[in-house]
Amino acid sequence: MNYETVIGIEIHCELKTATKMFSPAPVTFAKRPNSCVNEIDLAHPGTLPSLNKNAVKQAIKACAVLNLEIDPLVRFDRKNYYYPDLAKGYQITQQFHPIGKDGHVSIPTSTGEKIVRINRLHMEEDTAKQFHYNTETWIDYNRAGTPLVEIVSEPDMRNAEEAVAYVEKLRSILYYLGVSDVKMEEGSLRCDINISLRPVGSEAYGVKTEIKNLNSLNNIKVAIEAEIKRQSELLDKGEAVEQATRRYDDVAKTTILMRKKEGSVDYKYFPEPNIPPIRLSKEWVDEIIATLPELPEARKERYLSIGLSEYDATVLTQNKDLSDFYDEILKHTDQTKIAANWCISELPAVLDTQHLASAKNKLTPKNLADMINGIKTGTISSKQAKDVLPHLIQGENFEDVVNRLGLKQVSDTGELLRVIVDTLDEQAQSVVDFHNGKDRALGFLVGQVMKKTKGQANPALTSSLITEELMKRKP
Amino acid sequence: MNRYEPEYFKTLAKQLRFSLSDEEARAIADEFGVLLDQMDLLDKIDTEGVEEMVYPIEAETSFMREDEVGHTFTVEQALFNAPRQANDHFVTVKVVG
Repeated sequence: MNYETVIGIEIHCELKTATKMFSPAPVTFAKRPNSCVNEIDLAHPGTLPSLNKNAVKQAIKACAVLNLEIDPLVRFDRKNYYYPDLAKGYQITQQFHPIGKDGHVSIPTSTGEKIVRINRLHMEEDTAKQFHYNTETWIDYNRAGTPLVEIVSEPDMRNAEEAVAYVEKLRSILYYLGVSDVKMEEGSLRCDINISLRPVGSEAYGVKTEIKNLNSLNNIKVAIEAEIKRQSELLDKGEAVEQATRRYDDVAKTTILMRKKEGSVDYKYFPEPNIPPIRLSKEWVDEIIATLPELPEARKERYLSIGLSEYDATVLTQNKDLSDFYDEILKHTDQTKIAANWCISELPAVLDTQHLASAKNKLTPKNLADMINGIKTGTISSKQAKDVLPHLIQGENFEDVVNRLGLKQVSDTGELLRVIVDTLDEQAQSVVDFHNGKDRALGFLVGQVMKKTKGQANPALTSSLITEELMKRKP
Repeated sequence: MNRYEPEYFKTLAKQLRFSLSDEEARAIADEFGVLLDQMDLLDKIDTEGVEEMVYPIEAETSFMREDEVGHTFTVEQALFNAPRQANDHFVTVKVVG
């Protein structure tokens, strides 16, 4: 039978903040276990949560670009469960009043743009990292309390490509906004995929399964494809799909049962009494929305408008760090295309272009812009520029490198002309050859001038000056 | 006569991993009895049609904490109360099947 796939996605995204959602302990990754916790994170008696203003700001930014309606009265709820990944015995979340609801985002598909509706975005706290061994569980509370937003889509996606496009779109938006690091491999962005099949034409939803722990875009794609195959084989045999949580197994290339859903767990949600409702001022929210950073689509449009090709604009926009760097270069040069070429073709070969903003990178946009201007004005050739670049990466500035390596092209007409006249006097036979129609003679003469100037003559200028001089010597 | 005997509080205390002396358990049982009597008084009030309150203060607030790093425990302090620990981790019985 032919089935239609129905996919909804929940994304958990750690917010980029200095401190935790409800405590001033620092948000860190891969630090000594239990070294970034305080009495609030460990739920010592008498401690009270205190909401991180910046986390709320990040959530508002995400709400704004996902077209979610923002609730200006922030309220939290308790999700109660006995599990040691949060020391309090409950998670503070927003079950009843999410900060954002009823939004949408547009994703690219093979048949054009498609709108995916977003049900809600709510704030909550991340849990501790647990390590399960044979008889023991080890717990590191460093991650406990890290600010999170959960973004829940409507079941609007119909295949693996759309699901990947949705996650990719959200990742890119959240990264550009500076809301999150969105590192799937480090768990700062995690996806749970709900997936069910129904006969084509049917309105009712089939029984869904939830696939957890997908840590890359490729895994999302292969896991969905494997689950579609598994479910359709069951349905073809007349068997029922069981509602359950599953995980994708890389080796078995299929999804594996984690736990069955036997009724929904009762989390005994109730309003969090330790955090009274907080009213966000309209001015503050409006200001956050008014000062949102440029999003990838707008940036791409801007690049197209300054003359970049579709390809260059796309490649640059996909790497925000590189694209930010490119924008900095443009503050010092108007050579948009040459600068784009260097960013796209040359830099990735010699630098980690994902981390150009890091302190380790000594290549400054100003130095690269100086070099690009140097190419344009003929101070150095493109070929020489490739020799200059490694020195700029070491932190030297452009002028110093050119002077030290003696690379400066001779573009002074008078100086060049003297060398050319000397050369033509010495190479009388070549002058004759040229006038006899041997084009190679010109190349030879340019070569001789380059040799005399130790390669510093501007090749284009040299060639045209020699031609002029040869014409004067027409027999 | 207390509705909950001192033994009950000793059992609760044990479940919460601390111990109570006979004297302490009796004191708590007495205090709890007084509290329950107060509850009974409250129960007598007619609350028909009165909307329940979630927060002790009805007023909305506006305070949010600035995102500035404050103090943390040392690892030793963090693990000080943990009955079992290993390699800087809290250790519990295995919590998944």
